[in-house]
Amino acid sequence: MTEEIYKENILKENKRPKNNHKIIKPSHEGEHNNHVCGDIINFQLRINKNIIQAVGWTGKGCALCIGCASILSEEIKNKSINEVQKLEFSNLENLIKVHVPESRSECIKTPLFALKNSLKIKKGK
Amino acid sequence: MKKHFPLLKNQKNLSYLDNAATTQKPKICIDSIKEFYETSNANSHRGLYALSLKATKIHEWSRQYISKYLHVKSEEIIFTKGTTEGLNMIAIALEPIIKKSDNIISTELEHHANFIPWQQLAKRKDAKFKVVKYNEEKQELNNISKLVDKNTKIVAFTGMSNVTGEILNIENISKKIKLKNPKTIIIVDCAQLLAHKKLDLSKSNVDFMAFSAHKFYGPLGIGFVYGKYKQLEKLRPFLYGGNMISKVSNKESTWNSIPYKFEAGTIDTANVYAFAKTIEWLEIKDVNKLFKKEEQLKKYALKELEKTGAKIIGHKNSNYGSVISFSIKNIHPHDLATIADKHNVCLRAGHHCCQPLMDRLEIPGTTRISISFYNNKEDINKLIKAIKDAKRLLE
Repeated sequence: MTEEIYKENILKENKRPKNNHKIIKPSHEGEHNNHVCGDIINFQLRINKNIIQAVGWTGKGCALCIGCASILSEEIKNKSINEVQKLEFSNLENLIKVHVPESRSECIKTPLFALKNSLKIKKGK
Repeated sequence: MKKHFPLLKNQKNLSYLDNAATTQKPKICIDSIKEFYETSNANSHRGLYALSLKATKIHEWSRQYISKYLHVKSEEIIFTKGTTEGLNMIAIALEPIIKKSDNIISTELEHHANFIPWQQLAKRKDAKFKVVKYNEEKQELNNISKLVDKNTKIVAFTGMSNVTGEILNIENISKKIKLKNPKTIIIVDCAQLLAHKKLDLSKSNVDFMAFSAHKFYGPLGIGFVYGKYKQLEKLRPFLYGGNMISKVSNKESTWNSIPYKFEAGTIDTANVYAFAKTIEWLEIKDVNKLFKKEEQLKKYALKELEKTGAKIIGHKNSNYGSVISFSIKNIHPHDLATIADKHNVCLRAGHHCCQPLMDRLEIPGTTRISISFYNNKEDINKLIKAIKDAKRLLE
C-alpha cells in the first residue's frame, strides 16, 4: 500500500475506465451523490441466482472516484450478493492499493455506496 | 510581509492561497491573546473588582476601535461568533415583522450563510422568497432593486463573492433599493469584503452587516454585526441570558441597553481584543497600500492562469477582488487540490458553500485561489507548476 494517490493503476483506470457503460436489461440499479463535491456514480447490475453476472456504471468524478469505480466493477463480477455486501472502505484501499487520506475518503466511498444502493433497488421488468 | 506571520515564517515552503477560507494570523494577534490571558483575564462587564473592570475596559476599547475603523457608533457594533451566526441572528430577530404577503430577496451569488436563513425565514412565515439570478455578463446583481416592491421587507446580498471575487457596489445598490421602498431592510454579508476594501459606513444605506474576524487576519471564533442604531432599537434580543438583561423576575424580564442586550453570555474578550489590535497593526502598515499589493498580485495570477488554459469565472472587469475561481479541462478540482498540496500550495476545491451559484454555472465545483498581501509571485509560480504537474498526470 502506498501514500501516493496518483499511482499508475489509478491513473490508467481513470483514463480508460472499465465497464463504464450502461448494461442491457439490468436487474438492479442505484446511485450515490457525493455532497462534498457533487460527484455522482450510478451502478447497474444483472443478478441471477444471487450472482452478479453483468456490471456497468456511469457518472462523473475525480480520478480517485473514477479509478475506484473501474477497479470495483471488475472485482465484483461473478461474486455473490453477500460477498459484495461485505465490502468496506478498507477492502477498497486494498483493491486500489492506495492508502487514501481522510480528506479524500469520500471520493472512493462514492462508487462503493452507489454499488451498495444498487443492491437495494430492484428494477421493474 | 510573511515575516510578521509566525505560521508562514515557520513554514517557509508553504504557499497559502486559501485566504478566503481563513487568513493566517500576524504575530500581534497571537501576542495580544497571550497578553490578555496573562494580564487581564476576568469576566468583563460583571465583576466589581479591578481585574474585571480592566477586562471591561479592554473589551470596550476594542469595540470602539472597530467602530472607528468603520466610521460608525460603537453601540452599533455587536460581537458574535462570526458572520454565519450574525446573519442567522438577524434573521431570527426580524422574524416578528415578516407577514404572509411580504417578500424577501437574496441572490444566487450568496454563501449559504446568507441564503438559507432568508429562504427558511420566508418558509416559516409563508412569505415569498425571491432570488436574483447570477449572470456574469449582464450583471443582474447590480439591478437587485428591480425585484423590490412595496411588500419587500428584506434584501440580503453579499459585499464580495467568496467564489468569483466580485465586489458589488453596495451603496449604489442600496440607494436604488431604498428609492423603491425606503422601508426595506438591507443586509450585507461582509465576510469577504472586510479583508479587501476599507469601508466607511457613516453615510451608508445598509441597515445590517455581518463580519468575521478570522477572514481579516483576526482570531477564529469571533465576529460582529453592524446594525444601524434606529434598526437595533426595533429589534428583540437574539439570545437570552448573561449580561443582556436589565431585570428578571418570575413574571417578566427587561433588557440591557444597546449593544449589550444583543450580547448574551460571556463574549470572548481575548479574541475581541486581539482583533482590534490586529486592525490597529494593519492600519499602521497602511491597509490601503496592502490592498493595492494584493490587487497587483491578482493581476499577475490571472495572467499566469490564463496561460495554462484555465477557464476563469468572472474577472472580465475591475469589479473583482483577489479571489479567483477557475476550472481546468479534464482535471477535477479535488485532484488539482491534492496535487497542489504536494507542491505545498494550499488552495480550495468544491462548491464553496454556494450550491445555487454552482447550479447556475452548471458545474459541481471550482478550484479557488484567494490572495493576501503576504503572498508573492513565487506562490503563484508554484501554483502554475502544480497545474502543469496535474495536467501531465491526468490529461
